[in-house]
Amino acid sequence: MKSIKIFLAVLMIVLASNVLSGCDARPQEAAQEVAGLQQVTEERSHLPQLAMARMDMAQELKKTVELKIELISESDEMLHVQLQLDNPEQKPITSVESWISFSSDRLRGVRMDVDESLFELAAPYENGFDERGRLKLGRATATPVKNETIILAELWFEKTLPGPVILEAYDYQYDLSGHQSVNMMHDDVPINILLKPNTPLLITP
Amino acid sequence: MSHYTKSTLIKEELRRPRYVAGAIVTLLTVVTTYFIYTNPNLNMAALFHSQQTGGETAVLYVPSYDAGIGESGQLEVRAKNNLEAFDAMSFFIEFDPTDALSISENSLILDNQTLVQSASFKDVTLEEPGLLGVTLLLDEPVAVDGPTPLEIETHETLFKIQVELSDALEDDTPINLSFKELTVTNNEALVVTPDLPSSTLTALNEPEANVVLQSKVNSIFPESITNEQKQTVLVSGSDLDTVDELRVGDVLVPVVEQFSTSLKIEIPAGFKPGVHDITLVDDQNNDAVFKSLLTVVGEGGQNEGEAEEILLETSGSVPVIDVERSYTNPAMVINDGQTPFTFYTFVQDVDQDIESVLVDVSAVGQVGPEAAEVFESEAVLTLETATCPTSSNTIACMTPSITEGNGQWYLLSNLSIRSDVVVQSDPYLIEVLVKDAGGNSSQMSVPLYVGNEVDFSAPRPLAVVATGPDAVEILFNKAVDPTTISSAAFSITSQQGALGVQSATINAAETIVTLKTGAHTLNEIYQIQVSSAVQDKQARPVATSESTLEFTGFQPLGQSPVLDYLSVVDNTMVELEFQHALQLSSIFDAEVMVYESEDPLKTLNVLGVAVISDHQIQIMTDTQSPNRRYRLKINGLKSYDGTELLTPLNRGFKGYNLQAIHQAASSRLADFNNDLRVDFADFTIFSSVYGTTYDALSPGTSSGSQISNPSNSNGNEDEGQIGQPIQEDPDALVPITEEINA
Repeated sequence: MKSIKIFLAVLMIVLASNVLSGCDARPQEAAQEVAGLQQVTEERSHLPQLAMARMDMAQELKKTVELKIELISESDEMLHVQLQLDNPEQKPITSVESWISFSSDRLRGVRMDVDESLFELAAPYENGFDERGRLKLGRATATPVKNETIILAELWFEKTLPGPVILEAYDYQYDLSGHQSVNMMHDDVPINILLKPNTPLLITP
Repeated sequence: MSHYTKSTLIKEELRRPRYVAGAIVTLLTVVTTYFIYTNPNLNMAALFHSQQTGGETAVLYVPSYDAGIGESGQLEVRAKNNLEAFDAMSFFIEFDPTDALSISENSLILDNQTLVQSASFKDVTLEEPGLLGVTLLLDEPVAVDGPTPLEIETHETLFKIQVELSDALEDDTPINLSFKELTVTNNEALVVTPDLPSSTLTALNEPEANVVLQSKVNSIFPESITNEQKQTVLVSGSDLDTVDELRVGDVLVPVVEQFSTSLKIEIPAGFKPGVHDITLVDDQNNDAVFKSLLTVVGEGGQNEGEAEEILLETSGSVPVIDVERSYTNPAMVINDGQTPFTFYTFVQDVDQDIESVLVDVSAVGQVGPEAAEVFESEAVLTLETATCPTSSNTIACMTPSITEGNGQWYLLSNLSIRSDVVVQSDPYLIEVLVKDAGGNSSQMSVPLYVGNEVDFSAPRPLAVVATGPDAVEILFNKAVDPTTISSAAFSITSQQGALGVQSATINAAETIVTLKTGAHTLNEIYQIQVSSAVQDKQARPVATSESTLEFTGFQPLGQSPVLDYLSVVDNTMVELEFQHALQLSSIFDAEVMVYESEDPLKTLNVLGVAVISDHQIQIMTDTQSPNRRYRLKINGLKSYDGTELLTPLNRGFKGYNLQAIHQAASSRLADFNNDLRVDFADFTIFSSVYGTTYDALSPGTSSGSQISNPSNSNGNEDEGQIGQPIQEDPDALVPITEEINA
């Protein structure tokens, strides 16, 4: 390992001196070495391009989308929140499945408004509240959404008991096997690019 | 791409011995070169590991944070920082796409236990000719304490190098072709695991001059095959890598390996005998080549339209229809338009992903009795139209029955033969087509014997069981003439030699012959042959091709029959599979009864018992009521060694529900990714390809909003759910997501 480091250091010095002072002072052997390396580099110049493209593709599929709940208003009787996605890299999102759990003793879901949702398709049976304290939201679009901020729905809850309330993301998994995913298509396969949501998503005083 | 910069280049020469397999040079390492490229945004680097071979070059790209030659001389990859979950790992393998060497797309297996504990996304793509890319997304972080080396030595990356034949060989030149598995264990050497099966191929003569060829095919090897087992056929020529599909006769045959100068195809066992054209279709060029396996046939090109319509990608194994195990019950079907019969076939599929088995009986009959109206009698069974369920009563889907090894029995009951079908001694042929989830398919013609109460079928032994240390029972498919039964009509042999047959007796039904033999050797495999002296009542002899069966030398069991499986295969049939072979004569002597669970006094008539194999039987009943609970009671059944049931076998089952079966089949149509679940992933796939814009509203609701009241909503039964088409679209299949068990 030491020999490699020495070799690297020498090479860097040679290259640096070449840049700073031109080629005149460079030893002939080193010049041949660099010339050989440049030739190899030119011959393989297409390889890093492809490798880089490959890494870019992998980066594209990396999980970068965040699920958030913004508190819009709160009173002793009602809680009004907005479910949204932060998509900083503006990745093309085809579908969102987000189940939000809450205590059915304290809250009762009364309304979900998808006026501003850009996902025009609704998954069957995933568009409302159930008796077990869960909001089931499943939406998709034929035209992928790339916005940085994506509003999924506005939610209204009725408070049935006083005190703090907690909203949780329900059943997150790395892939689509859970009930919490933001998905983009790659080679006709949906890939979940949703980061693991914070726990809890929202807690009120 | 621009955020990658080349920062360092290391070159080190290592001298390696050449490795030669047969006459073909396989991968060997002579020079190792590293290129390190850094990505300041990702704080990552890609290490390009070049392994130069004697004439060919293979390059392995390994992403890392740092890399170099360790003090031990091994290639080491170090991580400066911990790898986080969702970090991407990419591997690239470059190879020289020359005539002499190529690497097939699916030839890379990654078994990287150290770096990649689990990956949520794996992708192997042929980036371009000569470059294979592999990408993984880590599910779990990889913690690195200090400069712990992650040595390539531990990665066990396995390569399979496919050597492609050059087409510059002269006629009859022997070619030694070897497949090697090369395991890269470190930078010092490539460890060669034992050879995979090798084969010697022979370059063949040029095709005959009068063959009409567009181009491409030079030879097909071998030119003739038997259909006794699956066989590999090599098609060699030029520009074959653009061929999109290959048919042998009418059957689409999957291409298992494809290169520019060769195609390798697998002909399934039981393939229809005869002379078959080989048709290669290139979708882009709209041309085709015709050759024949057995005799050369000169034909024109494929029609453009046909070529464009066909596009099939295949993966996995090819399902095989076993014609020898395809039959009707009864063996001779009556052309009266009403006598029902059942058709059975056995399909083998190694990866067991069969989607549908269809049978076309339009030439002779239909499902159900002959009626004034025949649905879609003009329908033709083709791969493109073969989808279950069908809307035809002449092309129907067969029902899966008992599983046996990697195969599955299928049946279709309540068939009948039209009264205008002429009785003849030669069988009619009905087409059976099998498709699996991997896009593989097989189509075979199965003989069907039609009579007008005259039985033309030859007698044949169905099963044979050793029932004692010196006794054997043989079951025939039909009654045989007792006067033709003698000890001389049966011969038994094994590797130890002949086993004497001292006497032969036949039961009252004249279907089971009991032989008294010499003493069996424990677990010895015996072959029993029935001579053509054995004839049925119409003096038809046992066919030579169906006269041999095998059995194992008697071993006392000391255990009464144990029922392993009970399957309700249709509304008139129950199938039973036992753990061990049964005494054949006891099957027909046993008392079989079916009654309703809730009211034992209400019985279901048992119409008969049939034997599938020595441990599988079928019980035909009157029509069962859907979902009604029944009890099956069998008394007097014996294991092959004569051990009788101490208490009657009593097992419950639920009446066959045809509607439920059809609904289940329909629901599978929405399983777009074929993971046997219809879930949100399917909905996403559906959404991405479904171009129609739904109206996001239910009729009558306010714009884009939904008010859901948990007190009256269970989320499942609401009518007019948002997201559903306003007008019903019969082609739309919206998957239904399922709730987990919380």
